[in-house]
This record gives sequence, structure tokens and C-alpha cells, in this order.
Amino acid sequence: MIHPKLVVLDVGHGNCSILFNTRGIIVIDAGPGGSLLEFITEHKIRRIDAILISHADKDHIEGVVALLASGIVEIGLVKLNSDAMKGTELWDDLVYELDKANFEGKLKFEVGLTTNDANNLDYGEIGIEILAPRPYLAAKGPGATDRNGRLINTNTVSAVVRLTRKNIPMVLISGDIDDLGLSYLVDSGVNVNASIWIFPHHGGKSGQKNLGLFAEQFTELVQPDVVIFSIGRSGHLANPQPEVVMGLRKKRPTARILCTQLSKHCSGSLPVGESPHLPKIFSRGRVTHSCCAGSIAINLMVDNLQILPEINLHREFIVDNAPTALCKNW
Amino acid sequence: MLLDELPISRVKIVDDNALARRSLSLTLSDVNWEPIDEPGPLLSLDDFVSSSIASVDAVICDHRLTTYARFSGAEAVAKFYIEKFPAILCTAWSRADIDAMRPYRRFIPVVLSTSDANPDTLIEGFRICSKELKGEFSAVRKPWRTLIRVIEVNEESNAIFVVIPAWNSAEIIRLTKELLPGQIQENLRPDFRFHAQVNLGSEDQNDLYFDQFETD
Repeated sequence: MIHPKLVVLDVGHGNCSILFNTRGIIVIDAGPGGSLLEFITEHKIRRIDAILISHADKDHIEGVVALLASGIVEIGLVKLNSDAMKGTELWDDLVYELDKANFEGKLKFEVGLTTNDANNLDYGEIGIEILAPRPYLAAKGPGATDRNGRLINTNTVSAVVRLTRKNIPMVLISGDIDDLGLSYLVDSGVNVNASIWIFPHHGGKSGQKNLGLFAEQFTELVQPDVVIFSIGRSGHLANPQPEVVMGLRKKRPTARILCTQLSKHCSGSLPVGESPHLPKIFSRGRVTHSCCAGSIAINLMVDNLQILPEINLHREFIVDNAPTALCKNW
Repeated sequence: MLLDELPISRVKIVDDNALARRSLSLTLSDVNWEPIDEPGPLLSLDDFVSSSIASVDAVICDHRLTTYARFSGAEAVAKFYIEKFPAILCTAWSRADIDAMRPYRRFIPVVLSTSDANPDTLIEGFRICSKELKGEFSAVRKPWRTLIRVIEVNEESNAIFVVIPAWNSAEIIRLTKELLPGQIQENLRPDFRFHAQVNLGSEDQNDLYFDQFETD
């Protein structure tokens, strides 16, 4: 009996989730750099049944380019939405590798990941729902304007994926969806409720006029018990933004918050020595002591969701190492 | 002292500067390793490597050896690696002379800045080195087959500028053309893509190595 689980991989600034479903392994975004390769090697994974790419940003697709070239794993299907606006050479690199692999019969490369894929992703007990984008948005594509004259960008068409078990919503993976994308989601009347939510765009700014309000509105819709920010410590970024956490807390004061790495807002310095609370799975920040929760493992059991790192050990780490922790509510 | 089952007690110091050798000797003494001074001159790389393997347990080597040796430190450390013998490159030239070091970088597990050489970094360095010699690569050194895209070819400086999308699609890396096999050199132009083994976990572009080039 395979117990389905989800790993939210610490890739630094970026997103990568690996779903171990009862009839296959599905990767949702692949983060930057080679972290996914490390995880696949560590877990001796031989086949990935599907890779779903939420949108065309480097912190979501670099790892796919790495994976395709590495040849370390068999890949069944890759699905993505076209993004002519992106026009980056990285996007060209990805399409180059996908086209080559597709031509050589090594995988199936499909353009289009929309709400119409509701029944196309059956890999076992965990249902995979695509809640956004609608085909309309995907067809218009980044760079176009919608019928109200609003500019559609890469984040607007970000795929939003929800995992369910026995029709009970469990995890919402919201890519980098922005406020325009969210308004389409709301207009669709789709229920986006989920126990666990991977917050969009790493809790950072992505063109929203009012980040705190965006967080409030989205939290109200999702009603999460657990919120995950997949963030990196290095570089100029400092996520999640405090107004995001405030907006979130306003609507869900008791939700558990986990950041993969230690936010600069929570501590000016990094911990010294071992971090015994971290699960024994690859985390990009482990070597540099940049982890807060590190990679997060979730057992997808309906009546008893189990999350690693364990809450008390994680809290001890936060108390000891994050004097200005944004998440602290205990 | 046992470092991951690799016994080290005698360590040879190779540097064209006698004062630098003396300073490193004192550091080694702090680790209770016996420093073995190599006064030079060193004429044959093969002879130097075989005599070192026969007489000491490990080597610390400077890179630029001027008239002291007829080879560079990078060359020597790479040769030791191929012979599965622990050696660390300890130099102030790791950034300034990257073009000369890059061809050997696949076989140099540890490059230590001269100013960073202390008992802790040397112990850690030999630990990393011994593991890699047993095939256990650290994340920053593990090779992966990956895509490389040419951005620009500069004939005057004999250099090319490339991006490794799976490492960092936003950072451009300068390589000398000599690093590449002839078949790839003949095809170099902007947007030309090829594959090679690269250590994608590297944090710094100066620590990247390139091996097993392929054309599509």
C-alpha cells in the first residue's frame, strides 16, 4: 500500500513540489538550479510520470531544463502553457530540450495546462485539479489584454493546482498567480478551499497594488490551516513580505506558517551548527544553514495530515534562531 | 589522524615562496600533521607525483609556481586526483588565473584561498577530498549532464561567453575556446547549444568545471 505524500522542496527562491501518488510521481514546477536533481538522486526515483509547469519564470523552470538534459530519470509527460511574451532565452532553452526529447520519443510534450485538464491527470488516489488558468486566459496569453483592457502577464496565467483525496481538498499550489489571475479565479466561482496552501509568488511583490489586501482576500477564499512560503535566503529578496503575513494572520490567526528558508525579516543572521528539526531529505539551504523549515514532507491522509518538520521541533528552532519571526503566534 | 578512513600524518607543502611554506608548516603543526617542506626545483610532474605518493600522505600545493616548478599547481593537484591521492590547491590566484585552472578544475575538489588556510579549513578540505576520491561528491561538486548556450564569441580574446540555464540562466560565464573540443569550436556562434557535464550545485561560477562535452 503506497501512502501518498507531497514534498515541497527547499530550492531557495522558487517552487518545486513532488507528489508521490498511488500510481505515479508528479512534479509541479522544478525550481531553479539542480535541487530537483539532488532530490531525485537521493530518493532513487527512476520515472516521473508528469511534470506540470505553472508558468514561464526562471525560478519555476530552470530545474526542468536541468532534469531534461541530465537523463537521470524517465519522464512521461510535460505540460505547460505557451508564453510568447516571455521570449527569454531560458524559455527557448526549455522548449529546445522539450522538442528534442519529444522528437526522440523520450517523452510527451503537451502545450496547454488549463481548467479543461480536470480529467487528464489521473495518477491515483490523489486527485489533481487545475483551477486556473481558464482556456480563455491561456489562449489570450501573456502580453495580450483581456476584454476589459487589462494586461495579462506571465503570472496572470500561472496554473493553480489543487490536490484532493476522496474529493476532500487538501493542498492548493498557487504558482505565482497575481491579482488579475485571482479575479478570474473568483469570477469562475471555483471553490479554492484547501487545508494546506503554498502561497503564490513566495509571499513577495508581483504587481499587486495592495499586497496585504491580496493576501487577505486570497486567504479568505482558501481558508488554510497551514501556509507554506517557498523562499530563498540569498540575493536581494526578502520574502515573505510582512504585509502578506499580516493579511494572512488577519483572516487565519491560528494557521501554521512554514517558510522553506529563514527569511531576512525573521533573523539578520543564520544559525550556527546543526538543525535537528529538519526532515532527512535534501534541502538546498541545509549546507549554508539557511533553512527554516527546509524541505517539507506532507503525508496526504484525509483524517490525519502529517507534516515534517514536526511542529514543536520547528517552533523550538524558530524561538532559538528567529528573534523577529513573522510567523510567531504562540 | 583518521579522516574518513584516510590516514594523514605527513603532508607535503609545495610553494615557490619559502615564507609561505613556513607559515603553512606552522598551521599543519596545529593539526598535529608533520609538515614536509618541498624546496624545489621540480622538473618532472610525473616524478614529483610518484615520489610524493611514496613519501607523504597528502599534499598542499600553491598554483603559480614560477621557476620553482615546470608545471602549475592546478596541473599537479589534478594529476594527484587521477592517482587517487589527496591534494588541496591553496592559492591567492583562484579568481585571477581561472582560465589556467578551469581545464583542471574537474579534478581539483578543493581550492582554498591562502588567507583562509587554517586547521579547520584544511581538515574539512581533506575530508571533502577523500570523499570525492571514493566517488562521494558533495552537492557543489557533483557532475550533471546539462545544456550550455553560447551568447557571444570573441575571436580577439579567444574567449566565448555562455549561459548554463540549469545553473543560473541570468549569469554569463566566460570560457576560453581551448577548453572545448575541436568539433564544438568549429560550430561556435551565438545561440549554438551543446551539452557537457557540469557541477550544477556550485555556488560560484569560478568553481564550475566542464567535462565530457557533446554536440547534438
